[in-house]
Amino acid sequence: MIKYVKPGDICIILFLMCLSLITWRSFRKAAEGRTAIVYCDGNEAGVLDLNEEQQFNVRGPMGESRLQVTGGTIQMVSSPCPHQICVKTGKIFRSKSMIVCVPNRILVRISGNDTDSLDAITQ
Amino acid sequence: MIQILWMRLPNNMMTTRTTTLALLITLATIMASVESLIQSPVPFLRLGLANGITLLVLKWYGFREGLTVTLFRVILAGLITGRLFQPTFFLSLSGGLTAVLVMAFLLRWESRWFSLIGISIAGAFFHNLTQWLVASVLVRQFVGLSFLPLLFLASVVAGMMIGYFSMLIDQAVRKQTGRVG
Repeated sequence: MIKYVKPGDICIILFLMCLSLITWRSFRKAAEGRTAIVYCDGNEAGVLDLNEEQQFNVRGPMGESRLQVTGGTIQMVSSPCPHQICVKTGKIFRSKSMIVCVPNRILVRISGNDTDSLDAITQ
Repeated sequence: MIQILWMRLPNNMMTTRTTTLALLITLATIMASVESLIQSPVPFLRLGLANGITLLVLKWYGFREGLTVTLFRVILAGLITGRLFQPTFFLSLSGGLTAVLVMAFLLRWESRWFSLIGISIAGAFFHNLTQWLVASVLVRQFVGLSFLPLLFLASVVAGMMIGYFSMLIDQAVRKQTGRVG
């Protein structure tokens, strides 16, 4: 395969590599400083930095719910609610996405710059 | 449409050419529709098998033929996958047209400066870039900026593979028949 490659090809490949590196660096910077805001019964219960591995317990009307932050994502690890919908939501990381636990009145929302969010995914 | 495009050719050559192009359109359509069944983890990330057919048609026949094949491929694949005149249809239409323009432009310097590999990579890149721009215009907001570097890298990898395969096909066809069409 190498013997067919011509100078223009190498230029194109190098140009695209540099372009992806530049965009990657600039957008990684923009994505930093993202936080998850935890609301309990409508009141702000805590702000979690998503770049920091941590656990967070929040007390709702039914008992204690446990949140975990790993690798820029946040998920509900355990909850006292009956249907466990909040736990099944899994890990969230995009800005504006949410974990909601209605029985325990807990809402977790990711805040971040708007340009990094997706309205919809198309194929 | 096909008849209008090749009116100037002698009758028997026109028939051969029309049949070959129809077969290639069919191949590209099948590739595009089968490919759309593959679930992708990231939006816009596709293999672009149909791009290889477009590249070969551009090389063997020329710009008008490549444009025709791409147009028919996009419309037919849209019909098969049921996405005709939906937003995603316009995404693939714009991406396909830009890729044809870019690849036809680069093919003029093919033997000296570029091989089919580089041309295919450039086509894939402009396909992705146009799709992303059109998607951003459609939703009036820059879509998934964090995916962009991945998109550019993917166009290098996929374009390289497709370009290499098209090159092998081109060489095999030339070896066997001595000519094309």
